[in-house]
Amino acid sequence: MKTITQYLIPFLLILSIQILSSKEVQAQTDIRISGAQSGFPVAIPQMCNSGNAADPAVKIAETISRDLQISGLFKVLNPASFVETPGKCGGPESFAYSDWTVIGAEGVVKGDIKSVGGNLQADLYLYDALQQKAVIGKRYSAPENEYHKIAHKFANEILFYFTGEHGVFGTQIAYVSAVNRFKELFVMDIDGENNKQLTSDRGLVFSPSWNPNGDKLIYTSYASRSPELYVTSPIGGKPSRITKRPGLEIGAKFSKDGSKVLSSASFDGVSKIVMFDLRGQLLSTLAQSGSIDVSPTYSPDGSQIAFCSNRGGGPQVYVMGSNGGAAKRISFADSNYCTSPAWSPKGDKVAYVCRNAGFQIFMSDPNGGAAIQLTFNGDNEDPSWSPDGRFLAFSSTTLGGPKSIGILSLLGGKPTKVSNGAVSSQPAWSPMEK
Amino acid sequence: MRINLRQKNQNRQTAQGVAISFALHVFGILISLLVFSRAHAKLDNEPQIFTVTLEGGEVLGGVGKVPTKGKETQKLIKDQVPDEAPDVKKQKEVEKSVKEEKVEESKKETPKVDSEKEKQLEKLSLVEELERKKAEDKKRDDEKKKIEEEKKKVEEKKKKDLEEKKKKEEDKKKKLEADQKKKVKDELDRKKREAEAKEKEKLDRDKRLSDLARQIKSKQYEGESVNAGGEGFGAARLGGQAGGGGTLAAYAKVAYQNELQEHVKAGWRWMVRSERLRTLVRVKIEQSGNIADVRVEQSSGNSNFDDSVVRAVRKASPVPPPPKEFYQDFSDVRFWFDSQDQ
Repeated sequence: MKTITQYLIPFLLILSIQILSSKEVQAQTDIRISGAQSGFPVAIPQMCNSGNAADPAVKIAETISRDLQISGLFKVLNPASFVETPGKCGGPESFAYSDWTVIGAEGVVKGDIKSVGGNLQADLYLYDALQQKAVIGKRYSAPENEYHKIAHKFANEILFYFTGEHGVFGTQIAYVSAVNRFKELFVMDIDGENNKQLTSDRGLVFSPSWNPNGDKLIYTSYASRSPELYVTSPIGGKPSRITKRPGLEIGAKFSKDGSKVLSSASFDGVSKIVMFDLRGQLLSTLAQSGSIDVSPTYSPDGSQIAFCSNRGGGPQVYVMGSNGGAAKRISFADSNYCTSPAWSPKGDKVAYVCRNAGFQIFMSDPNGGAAIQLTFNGDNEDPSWSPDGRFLAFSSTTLGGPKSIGILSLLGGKPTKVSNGAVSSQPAWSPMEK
Repeated sequence: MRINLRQKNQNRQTAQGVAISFALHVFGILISLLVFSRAHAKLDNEPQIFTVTLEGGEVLGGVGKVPTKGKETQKLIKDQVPDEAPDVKKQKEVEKSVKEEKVEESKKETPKVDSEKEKQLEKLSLVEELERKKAEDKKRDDEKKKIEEEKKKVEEKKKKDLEEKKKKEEDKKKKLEADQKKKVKDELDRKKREAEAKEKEKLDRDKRLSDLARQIKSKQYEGESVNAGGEGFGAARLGGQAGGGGTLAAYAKVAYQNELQEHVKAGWRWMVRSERLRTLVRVKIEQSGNIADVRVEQSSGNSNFDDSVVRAVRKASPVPPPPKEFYQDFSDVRFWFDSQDQ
């Protein structure tokens, strides 16, 4: 017995080691992948017209395409490459996902549009062509001439599905544009469509700016022969005058709660940064110096103000506390003329304009560090941030035709021209759509 | 039987004991083979095994776990390669050309972006350039002044030269003596350093091997893996038994793994941003390269990111067919998708 156990024990040991070790070898093949590219490929074919909606069926698809292209995050596939007939009707049972994956599409936008008594009803779907399922389905209705609102809303849904971030489609840009020899206030969608004239002052209009709710615009107008601040609604209506003072009030901005107005004013001779209430009563004067101070802009938390001052000689951009006090210069672009600061919605950057072989747009940290130049040719002025902080709208002489409004994605690429026709400048991007 | 055995004489007892133990060993080995092959047979249904390691050598020569596999692999190679080789070759050629096309495409795309970025950067640095030019001008002036000063100095030096020559000769003598001393010391130092370097090399090598054994993480590792594979091969021979086969297989396996990684990565689209997200998906790959199933095993917590990952894998189907001899290693693969490069 002893002998057998003597041989048995080592044998069992070897056996158990073999079993254990064979399990130990079991481990899975792991592969690590990083470094995704950007540019989600999406196909946006002409939609199905299921009743008196031939025009919107085309235009909704076009508007969504334009939005996604402006975002710089998508690769909108060329409809010429589509296998499927344009305007094909029906849900997922009626088309082949392979028709879309074969041209490289990850997303396919389809829609069914009809018009009933001048009202559009649009059922829009986003299909994930690779997971082969509908991932968004929405029904919208709107007056026929507001098809673009439907398109913008759905473009935001698409952006959210692919990135998890909220888009700015459907937000608007207020701007100043020439009407004959006058300059009036306008507002348009960020793709240039849905353009509306808000003033008919037959004079000069300057420096529009939105309130935080996006339902009011403040601007300077010569409507009453002297420049005063006015407030109007972006959907139209009669503007109301806020100030009635000698001198020039310009560059007004609503405070974070919308109850006060920061502006430059020159009623006692020299332009200062001041605070008004909404009835035009002077609350305080913020920047005290013998210098000219203009173009204030709040930091998003409302605790600081960037503005332009000539206190150091030529005009430069400075930052001070929201109650005034000591100011620190932040523009160092090797230029003797910097102005028009615009604080980013995330608070991490300030954009401004400096004269440097024409007027060019620069961007730096709020303390002046990490300055970079964003434009290089012609004149580019009046930067205004998109509410998501991913774009700048500005006026430019480099977009073809007269000075016009362009949008630049901070991810890179060339600016997109969004205004049409007449000389346009001083864009102000609205807050996020509520 | 026990009683009988006791009754027999010592010699017979020993001989029989040996015979029994021999029989038991054979039996045991058979059972262990059975267990082992059953474990393999199950693999179709179960998550697939094998870390992709190149440690081959030492481990292969060790406690006999992998040699079994090594034998099998060799057998497979002997059996299959001659028949399969032409097809495999063709396939690989096709894959290669496809890959090259892709590479060219991506090459075409990237320069645009790069050149634009460069353009921007160039322009961005205009200001800096102006400053630089100023600085350069200043530098040039400074240099002129310097040259003049140096001329003066040279004249002064000539005067001093005679004195200095004497000094220098004395210095030289001193220096020679010092040099000789230093040489002796250097020689000693060098020997010491060599010994240390050898020790470090050994440690490094061990570390590299164990690192590789853990995981082939990134492309950078591919470069190293070739070397490590070579070292592993040598070690395998020391350990004896079919280790070499295992090592070769491991190398080809890593090559395929890299191919798979590139293939899946190429189609992955995501919006780059600061937030870090990681998703683990488990992917079933058929012998044809068709992707049969994708399952999120560990979510990033961001469903949009998870979706981008699933799309990337689906888009990659069919992947290049895994080499037959280790299809099992790739029938079920875990992909870690990371929103940030490391």
